[in-house]
Amino acid sequence: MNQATPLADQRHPLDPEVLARVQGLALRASRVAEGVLAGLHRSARQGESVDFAEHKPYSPGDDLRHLDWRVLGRSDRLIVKRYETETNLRAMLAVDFSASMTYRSASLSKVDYGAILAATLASLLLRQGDAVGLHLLQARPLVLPPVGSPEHLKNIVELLQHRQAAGPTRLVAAAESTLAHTGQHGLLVLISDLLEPEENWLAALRMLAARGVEVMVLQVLDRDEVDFPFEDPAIFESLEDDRRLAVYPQGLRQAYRREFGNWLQSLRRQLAVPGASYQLAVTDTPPHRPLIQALHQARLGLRQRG
Amino acid sequence: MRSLAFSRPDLLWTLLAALLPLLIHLLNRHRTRRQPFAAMEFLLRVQRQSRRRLLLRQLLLLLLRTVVIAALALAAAGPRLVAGRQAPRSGLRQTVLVLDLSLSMRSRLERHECFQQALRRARRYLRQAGPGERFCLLGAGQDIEVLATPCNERAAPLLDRLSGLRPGWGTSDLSAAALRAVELLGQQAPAGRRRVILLSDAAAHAFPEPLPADSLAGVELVVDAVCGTDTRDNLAVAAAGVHQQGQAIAVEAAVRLYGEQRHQTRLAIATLPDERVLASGFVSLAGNSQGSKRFSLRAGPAPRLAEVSLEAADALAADDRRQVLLPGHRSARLLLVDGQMSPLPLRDELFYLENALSQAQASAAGLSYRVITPERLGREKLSSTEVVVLANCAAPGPAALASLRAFVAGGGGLLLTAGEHTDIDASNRLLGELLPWPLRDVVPLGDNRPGQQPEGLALGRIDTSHPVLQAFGPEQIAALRRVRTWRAVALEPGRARPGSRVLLEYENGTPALVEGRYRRGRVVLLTSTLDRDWNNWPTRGSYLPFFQRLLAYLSGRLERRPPPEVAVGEPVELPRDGEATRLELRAPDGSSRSVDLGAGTTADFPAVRFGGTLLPGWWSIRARSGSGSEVTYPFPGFFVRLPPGESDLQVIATDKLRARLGSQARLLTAGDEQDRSRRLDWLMLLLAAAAVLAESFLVRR
Repeated sequence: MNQATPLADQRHPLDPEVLARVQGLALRASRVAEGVLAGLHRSARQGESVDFAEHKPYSPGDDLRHLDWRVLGRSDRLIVKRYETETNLRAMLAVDFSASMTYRSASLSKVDYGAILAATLASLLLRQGDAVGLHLLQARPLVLPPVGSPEHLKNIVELLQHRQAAGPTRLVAAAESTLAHTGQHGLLVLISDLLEPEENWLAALRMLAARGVEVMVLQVLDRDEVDFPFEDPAIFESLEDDRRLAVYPQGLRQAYRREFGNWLQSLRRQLAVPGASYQLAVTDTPPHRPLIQALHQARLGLRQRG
Repeated sequence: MRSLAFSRPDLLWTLLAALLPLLIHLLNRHRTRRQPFAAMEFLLRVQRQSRRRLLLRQLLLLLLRTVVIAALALAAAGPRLVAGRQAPRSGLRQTVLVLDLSLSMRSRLERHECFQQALRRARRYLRQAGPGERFCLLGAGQDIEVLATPCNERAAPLLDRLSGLRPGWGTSDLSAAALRAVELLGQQAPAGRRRVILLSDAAAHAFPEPLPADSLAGVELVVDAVCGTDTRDNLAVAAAGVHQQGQAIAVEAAVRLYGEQRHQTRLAIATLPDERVLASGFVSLAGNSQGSKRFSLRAGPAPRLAEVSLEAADALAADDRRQVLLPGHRSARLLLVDGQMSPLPLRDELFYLENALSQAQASAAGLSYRVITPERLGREKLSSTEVVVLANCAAPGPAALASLRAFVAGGGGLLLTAGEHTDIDASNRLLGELLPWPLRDVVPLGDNRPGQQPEGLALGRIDTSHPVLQAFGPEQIAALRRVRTWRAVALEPGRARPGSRVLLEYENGTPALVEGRYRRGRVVLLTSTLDRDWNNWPTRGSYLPFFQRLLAYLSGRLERRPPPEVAVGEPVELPRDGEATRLELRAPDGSSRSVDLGAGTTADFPAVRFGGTLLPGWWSIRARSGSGSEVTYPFPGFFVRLPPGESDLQVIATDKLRARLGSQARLLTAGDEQDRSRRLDWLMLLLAAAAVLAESFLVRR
């Protein structure tokens, strides 16, 4: 017997509309992770080692068992020892929490969408034993150093869920914190709309990739920013400063699309370097799709370098 | 040289709507909503790059939207390039617009009434007036009247006057109207170019007589054929005659076809106002011919109004029906009181009268009778009787007398005849006011020798103007004069009752037949007998028609004439009759008119002419006496008929028009005018469409 199926049920379970109705970032991330795992079957790096790797300053969240007591006795400095067995990868998730990320035309804002991407990646990486850190890119940045404990996911999700996006940002800070917390063989995942007037962050990322850090850029944009579908005249106001402009959208649409498209092409081109990958994620598409794409591209990058 | 004119200049105000895009733009500047946006950098960059182009585009859009609305507004106003002679010129011109208000203007061309077309054209002329041009407005109907005075330079008062105008039901004489228009132009100062425009269906019948030569000299005369010049077929019920034979009625309806095409049409007769169809049939007509249909009907007890109508989708609907009055069949009931009843027929007082009434003609004339003895009279109910004949009766008893008085006072007819049983004193005493003239005694007439057949006297003066005798020709009058009477009741000299009238006199001046009035009723006194006792009248040929007519007169039947028929606008003659002093007329539209018949004798001033017959149809009449009570009248109403000539819608040919009105007359049709003026509304629509296309192209870019 045929029965009418509600429209919502026909949507993809990871459709942003559906995800928006799921309460809690952890649950959203877990669902998306399942979707990603269905598309990915193995980790980018595998292998174990118990060799000492390096010292690093202590930061909250580090396991106290790895504190180097001898250094502490000699110099009163809190230094922890890191071993190759601890992790295969030290990843830093840099998520843009500036005001421009609050824009939404659909059910999920860019920052909501970015948080899902970040939480999903953290879940996936922690699940395979990688250490994951979090850097919320804001005027007053907040950094969680990479930790390989599965419980660390809670800290990450907590932070992503409760931090308010506001003010301007500096994307270049992501590169700085990555160097500080992951070392030369780390992974930087930058989740941002990349709408920063100064583009020195791009040079910093290229430099990071040149030094051996895997750089994965996930650009999160709203459909409005890509297509500029507005019809009626309006005063457009910047989300991060006091710039405003009276615009007759129909007259500007074509030129805007052309300009914006050129910029996206330029980003894609500039990030097409060994060790770096770029993936565009528009907030009206299911988040597991850009993630799968991004992870595929990242593997391709590793092979090129290795 | 052509100039721009508008068919509907009153719609030019809609051009103000062209300001709407600008107003909307200005309003939107204040009401623009705010839109937060992240990629401001790109917007600013794009805006900087295309600022001039955007400004130009905005201006162009504004212009195109303004053009769209302005072009549509102009198209609605009906712009046209008008040829030189029609173009409104500066300089003085005086124009008289003559509106044909005749019946044929109610005809239709397809679905449009010619009169509405004429109004439309009149408005167009007024709106296309040049500066300083003066207009006068004439209406040509039954009369020619100036519809708006004075002639005006401003169109508005004349346009107001046009609204609410309707054509009449009569004819019009457009030749006379043209003359009147020229006369009106002559009264206007200062003189300038003069023009007369006849707005008409240009039916040939509207130009009956040729005008005197040069009567329209110096005047541009245009006959604007508002319903075109093509022949329009029209059917009309041209006549309907009613013939009664006892209870059988025959209605003969004539249908006339104006037009070349052969037609078959259904003709029906129906009662009014319930429109119950009594009979119907078909009539086939060749081009420009007349046919007829005969309907055989049974008469009802009372007269009925009916309508003969035809079913045709022709040009003029008003002449597709014609009303008739179907007479009733109820005969006058006579009560004959036999004062000398005898088993020997020849000795019976009423033998000869009964014979006269038994003839077929009496039945056809609607007379039926009953005979009683004088003793029964007191017990008779006279309410179902119209005439009582007291033949050779002694004075009636008190009960019979009271009954008789009430009967006559209520409008009944009484015939008193003399004889052996007439008691002079008792009659004078008891009948009193019922008698038109008091009786004196029974006197012999002529040279009566004992033992010989008396010679008697012939009739002397005969009042042939009386309705009873009006129908008698010289032969019948001569026959009357052969009647010999040798005995009669003499009347008291000089004591005739007021209003009494002597119809017949004997040679010696003794009244033989006297008519008097008692309230609403009539009393006729025959001073001799109804049988052969005192005269030889029953053996003469004049006896039968005379007494049939006399009794019909007493019953009121004789004066019942078929209702008169007049054409619209033609005066109807309303006879002054008996006691009626005032007539209440009810027009076909339900309105009432009162006609005062005035005082004076009917011989001096026998009828009143009523000229307000402007509505076609049945006008019913109620007659009132001086006291206000309703009295009998010769006919219950009259018909106002449509003028038959108006049914012919054939348009006058140009050569005939010129023969009637002069060589400068010009027959103009709507097509002619359009040929000379170039319509620009389609151009405006094209411009609007092009602007819409350009606007949508710009918007999409």
